[in-house]
Amino acid sequence: MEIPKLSRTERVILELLSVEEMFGLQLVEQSKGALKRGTVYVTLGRMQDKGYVESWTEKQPAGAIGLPRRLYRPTGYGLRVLAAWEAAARALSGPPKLRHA
Amino acid sequence: MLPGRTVHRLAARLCSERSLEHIVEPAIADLQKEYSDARARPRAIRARVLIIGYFAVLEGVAMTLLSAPGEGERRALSRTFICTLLTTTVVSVLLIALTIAATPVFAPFYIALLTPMTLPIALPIGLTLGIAFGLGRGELSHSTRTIVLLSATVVTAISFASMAWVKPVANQSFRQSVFEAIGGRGIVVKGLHEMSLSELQREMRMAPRGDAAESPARAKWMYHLTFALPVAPLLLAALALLLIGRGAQRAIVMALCIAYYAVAFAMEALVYQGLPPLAGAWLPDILFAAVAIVVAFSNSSRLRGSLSPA
Repeated sequence: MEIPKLSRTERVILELLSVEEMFGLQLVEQSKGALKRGTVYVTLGRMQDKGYVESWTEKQPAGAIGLPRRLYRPTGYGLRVLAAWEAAARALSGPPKLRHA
Repeated sequence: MLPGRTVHRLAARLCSERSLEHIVEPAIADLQKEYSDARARPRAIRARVLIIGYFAVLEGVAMTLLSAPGEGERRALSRTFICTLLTTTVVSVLLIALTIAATPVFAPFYIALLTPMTLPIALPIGLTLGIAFGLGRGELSHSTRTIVLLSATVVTAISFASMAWVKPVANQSFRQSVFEAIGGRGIVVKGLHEMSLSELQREMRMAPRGDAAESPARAKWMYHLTFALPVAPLLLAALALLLIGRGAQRAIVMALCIAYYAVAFAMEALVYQGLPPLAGAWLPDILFAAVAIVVAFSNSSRLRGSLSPA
């Protein structure tokens, strides 16, 4: 079985989306510099291919001009991958503590 | 009018449908939303929104194009860029060395002053040989061809900027420095290579003088050459892609590259003998564009032939 990979930026995105669904630009703003505006949609596209997130275009009011923005939310699989990586990170963080006799 | 429409049309031609929908369009939608939110704000803020938004869209398009080719083609593209860089450097160094060898004095900063003069020749040769030696012979994907042609367009822009604005100033500084280093005093009179576009236009309107080297016809040729020569990277790259795509030998691509410059500089002599300067400057481009069209048609008819039922 192949273990799903999760890069640092993908983890940031999943963490943000686990709170609420967001537009790409909102993700960039809330990531405090961890995500770049020019690359966020490339990463989101890759995450969608992996099945970590799903997206749809916003409903625009009648008469609106311009392209509709795209909203993102994590899939159940994406949240499971995030939980697994967080658990792995917790388990592996810090050196093993030595017991004194 | 909302921004981003032209970029959207361009991206629609370059990117796959999926990339357009998931990468380019959301970035353009952000740009349009931010711009319409900033409509009532000062012009400087609107300009900032446009610059940042467009930069993000173009970055997305570039990343889409760069990630589109497969692993093999990505390696071939890296090889192409390395070959281009190496060949451009070698040709530049050769041209600079030839000029310095003919100069009675030398100072290290001459190299910097002579570099802009070499770029319009070294860059197209570098790019063409980079394509010939970096990309493997045979079929290339659409995205690889697009990346190479976009690079050639950038090289064309650099060549034009170098010929129109940087070379005249750098050449004149070089001549003045050499003149002063050998003990000369005063200002060296500008030659045609040292004139800006407006100075060349003024020279073109002057009555013919005894000095054939600085005649108005030659000034006209030089003026039009400033626009015609920078087209070479695009033409030669397109021709190299077409030839490499049908499995042609690298030597043929190299020969064509040399032939372009041989024809371009032979035109100067023909201009002296009465050939209209406009034709003298643009004929090599027209000739090589015609060759590229013939090769493209022969490629497509060959493809149709191989696909038609027996």
